[in-house]
Amino acid sequence: MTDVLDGVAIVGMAETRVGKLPGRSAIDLQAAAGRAAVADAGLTKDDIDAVFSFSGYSQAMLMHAARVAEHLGIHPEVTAQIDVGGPGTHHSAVMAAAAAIRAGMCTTALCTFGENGISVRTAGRGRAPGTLTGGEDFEMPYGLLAMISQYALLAQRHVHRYGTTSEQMGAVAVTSRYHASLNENAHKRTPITLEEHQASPMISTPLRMLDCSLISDGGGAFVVTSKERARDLPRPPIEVLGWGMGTTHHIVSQAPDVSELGSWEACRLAYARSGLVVDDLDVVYVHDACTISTLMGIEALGMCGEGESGPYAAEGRLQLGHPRPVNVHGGMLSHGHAGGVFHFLDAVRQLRGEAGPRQVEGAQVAAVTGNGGVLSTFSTMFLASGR
Amino acid sequence: MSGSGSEYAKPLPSLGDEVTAPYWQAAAEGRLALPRCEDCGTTFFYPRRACPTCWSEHIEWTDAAGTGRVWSFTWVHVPFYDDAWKDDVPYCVAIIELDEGVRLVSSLTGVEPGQVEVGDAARVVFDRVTDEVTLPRFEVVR
Repeated sequence: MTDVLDGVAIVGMAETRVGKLPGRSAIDLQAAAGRAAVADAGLTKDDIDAVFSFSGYSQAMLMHAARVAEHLGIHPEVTAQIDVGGPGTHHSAVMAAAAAIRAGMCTTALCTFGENGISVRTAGRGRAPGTLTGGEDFEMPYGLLAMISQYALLAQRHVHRYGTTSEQMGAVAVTSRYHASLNENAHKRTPITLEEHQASPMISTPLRMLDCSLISDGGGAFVVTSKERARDLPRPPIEVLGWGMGTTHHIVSQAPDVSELGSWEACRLAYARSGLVVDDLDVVYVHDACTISTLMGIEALGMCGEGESGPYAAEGRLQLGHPRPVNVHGGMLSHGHAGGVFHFLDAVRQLRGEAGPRQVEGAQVAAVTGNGGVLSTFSTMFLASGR
Repeated sequence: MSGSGSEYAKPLPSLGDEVTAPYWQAAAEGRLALPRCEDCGTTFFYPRRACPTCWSEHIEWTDAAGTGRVWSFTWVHVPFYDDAWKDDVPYCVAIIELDEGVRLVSSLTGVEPGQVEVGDAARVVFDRVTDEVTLPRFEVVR
């Protein structure tokens, strides 16, 4: 099947330190990741003729990709800021880069992401100034302010329909932290127990503090070019075997029920376009704004039946050593949340065989899912080593 | 939950949007009004100039029964971002599925944690929070 992603590969990637990095602006973090990703690809800044970026929300900015380019001293023909909601945007950046490369608009695209969320966003009391989120008129007046409360409303649907328990969600948090304990760049590395999860403060029922992703400082970037060009570059090229996206709503009052979210269609399309089946997946990265997101994600990927993700997690089957381990870098729950590209980067790392103590032996195919908003926009990508 | 004029510190809806103003005007008059498409019959929420089903701009406002069910809820335990809700926590935000078939976000009044279940019957109440703004909230009907 001819696909927009045929003929392109991810040839370089990097992430900065992730955690609390006071004094570093979001643009500085993105640029640092960008320089490292270009070096990782064996390229120089003169090779980059397109920049795609996402400003994130801690220091949201108009014309952000032009700023990244300016910061790096690059004068690309093509720039675009892409925002489909934080942790789904990297997939759309891959798509945009691939389309531009295949259309002859550019040859080599740098895609950058990152936030200084903990140092700026929380200090600024959590909102990017002037940024509208859509709920201003009909949701915020009722105190529906935090993303986590919006997620909680859909988490409660999962609890209601399938009997999912707080302990089952806690199993996701415990496994994520265990994986992060093996990742020296993770924001939170000290293992936690289920008891600690259960004792953590309630934030917005049914979600406790340890159900929530972190807010982190950090940047990540990758480089996309043609497979033809990739042959001359030092790193194993990573190709996209299949992809799918789905959008059902923006604000939570407009959301469908959890069995009808865009995740299901995104995964169905990715399987159909790739010809893969769930047994082909070796390592899985699922968007985890909170523990319930991980549970919903593995259901949509078909790793268990609808509504069966709670018991699946409680049995420890998300952990390294099991088939299709999930978020083995620690996820946004423990590695860090700075816009969501780190899942994608760790998938590349795994497929290169560079994940150290977290390496899934012989990993050939990785699944990466992202979502933006309140489970509003979804994307699924299956990646594989092109060598 | 009622405010006291200019001291009201919580976010308020915009009243200057001509598409959504009838909703808030109705609330101020003690009515829960919903936009309904005159062409395809779809009742929808939130208000838009054109029907999201058929794009017709022939929209009429109809009074809803004001009854529905709790589709989902969350008890918010943290006063996020500013201090306006610090005396309210924990408070219950809910998605209400109205009998007319649409869902909207509101809050539940007169309930304590542990007293709310998905599927509970709910009925609108009107809370005049400022001289200009009345928020439709809901109470659980036992």
